[in-house]
Amino acid sequence: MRTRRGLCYPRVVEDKNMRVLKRRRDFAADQVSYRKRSRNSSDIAGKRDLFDSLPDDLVISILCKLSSSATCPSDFANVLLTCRRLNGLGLNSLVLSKTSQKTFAIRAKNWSEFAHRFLKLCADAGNVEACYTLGMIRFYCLHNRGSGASLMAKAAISSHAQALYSLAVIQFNGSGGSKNDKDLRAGVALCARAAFLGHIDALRELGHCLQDGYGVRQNITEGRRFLVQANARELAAVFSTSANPTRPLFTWNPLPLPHPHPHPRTVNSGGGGGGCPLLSDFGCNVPAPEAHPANRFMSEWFAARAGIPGPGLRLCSHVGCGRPETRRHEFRRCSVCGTVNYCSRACQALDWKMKHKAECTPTERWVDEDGDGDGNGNGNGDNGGDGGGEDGVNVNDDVMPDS
Amino acid sequence: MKFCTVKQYFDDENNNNVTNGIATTVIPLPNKHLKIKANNKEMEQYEQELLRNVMPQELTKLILAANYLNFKEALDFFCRTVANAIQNKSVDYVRKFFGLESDFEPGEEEKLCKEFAWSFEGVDED
Repeated sequence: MRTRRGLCYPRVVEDKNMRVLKRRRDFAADQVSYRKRSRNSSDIAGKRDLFDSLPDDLVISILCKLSSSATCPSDFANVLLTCRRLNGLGLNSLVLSKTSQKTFAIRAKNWSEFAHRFLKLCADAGNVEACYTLGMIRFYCLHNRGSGASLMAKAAISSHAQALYSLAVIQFNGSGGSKNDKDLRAGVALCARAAFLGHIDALRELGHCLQDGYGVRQNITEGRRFLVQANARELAAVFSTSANPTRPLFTWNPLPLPHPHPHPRTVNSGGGGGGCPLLSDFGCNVPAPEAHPANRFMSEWFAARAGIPGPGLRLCSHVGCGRPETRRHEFRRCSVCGTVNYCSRACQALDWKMKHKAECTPTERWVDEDGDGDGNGNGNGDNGGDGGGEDGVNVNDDVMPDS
Repeated sequence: MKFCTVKQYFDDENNNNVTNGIATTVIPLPNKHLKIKANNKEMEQYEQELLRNVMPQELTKLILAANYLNFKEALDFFCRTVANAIQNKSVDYVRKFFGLESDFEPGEEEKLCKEFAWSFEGVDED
């Protein structure tokens, strides 16, 4: 390993106050270069010598630690601007491959060719988070469907749960193509893989698919099992990531019993174990999970475009998601009020407990068997978010009613 | 066997890679590791104490010593400490920390600043 001044490791050149030990034959050249450097202050000189004495591989391992623990882009970018050596080593593919997810938390207003290039570098170095983030940005924001999907696939192959789930959503909705490009079975398969990795939204989505027989043979009890598991994981996630023990993790307003309401499925099928209430239906309100940098980027990107991703297109009404439609009427809407749209059942569930439960009021009654969301904000609605209503809002496949 | 090079070290009298002070810090670490094997919190506390007053120069020497002695855990820990110290600080702070001077040409530096403008937000002024 050669350091900047051409010294070979494991030799260490000490500060000129200490004894200098040379073992290699080329010490004459080093002596000359050593004497040539002028010292302004011994303090800085001491530090510089020591930094120089660190061989490249050790600096790389320091930078790897730095990049993998970075909590924002500037944590890491600072180092790249200090000097040539750090710049070169910082862009080494080993360092870039370990960069953390939060380093890619680019603000949409700061997006530039350079940011794009940095993400590309990291993706090429094999960083799975970079592949996923760049894939999402390219697919939804830059409208480059093919490249975006293939980057997400690359991340998915490395078992990145969010990438698998995002690809599942794309398959379910036929995003980037026509209505006939929907591939429900592929969506379920991808969703299942993400669910087995513990992704909460994927678990919910899979649970609902099993209950509805959507893309997979109907199995209501199995579906319910997944929904219950999603709730359990959500709760576990809150406990495991709670940083501040003094603040209450979640609010708990125990209800006398879960709010009873007519659910069409149980009425029709006679106790098949229909849907599954969310935690919030029992009065337990866990805080929403932190959005992934890619989702946050998309929300900001489209917010800057007045929330309109294109002519006649809408965004997913769940604010933590940020996905746009890629063709008209791609997303399904709340069958009770019809004012909000969601890209997936999981987003619908999350938004229901976060805000829609309080504001959803039936404007029209759909007369079909998938019917009917239950009475919600009307009943117990004085505190936002508590009071039990099951997530009884079923989405219709299309806005157009069957005529 | 954590200390693969220790035997060689003791045989090698003319060794200046690891000075005395550093050796006394680094060598007891494996014993402590064994004693507090599964208890991560205690280990962290011990390590925090150890490095509370250490200056960057010392840290660099520690890193070199750990590397020479082939002591992976200590090396990881020291590297992580350095990383934490320079995390989210301004460019000048990092330069001062390592005692570096910018060896970019003036135009080059400006270009780089522009290139990475997208990442800068909320830097510590320390």
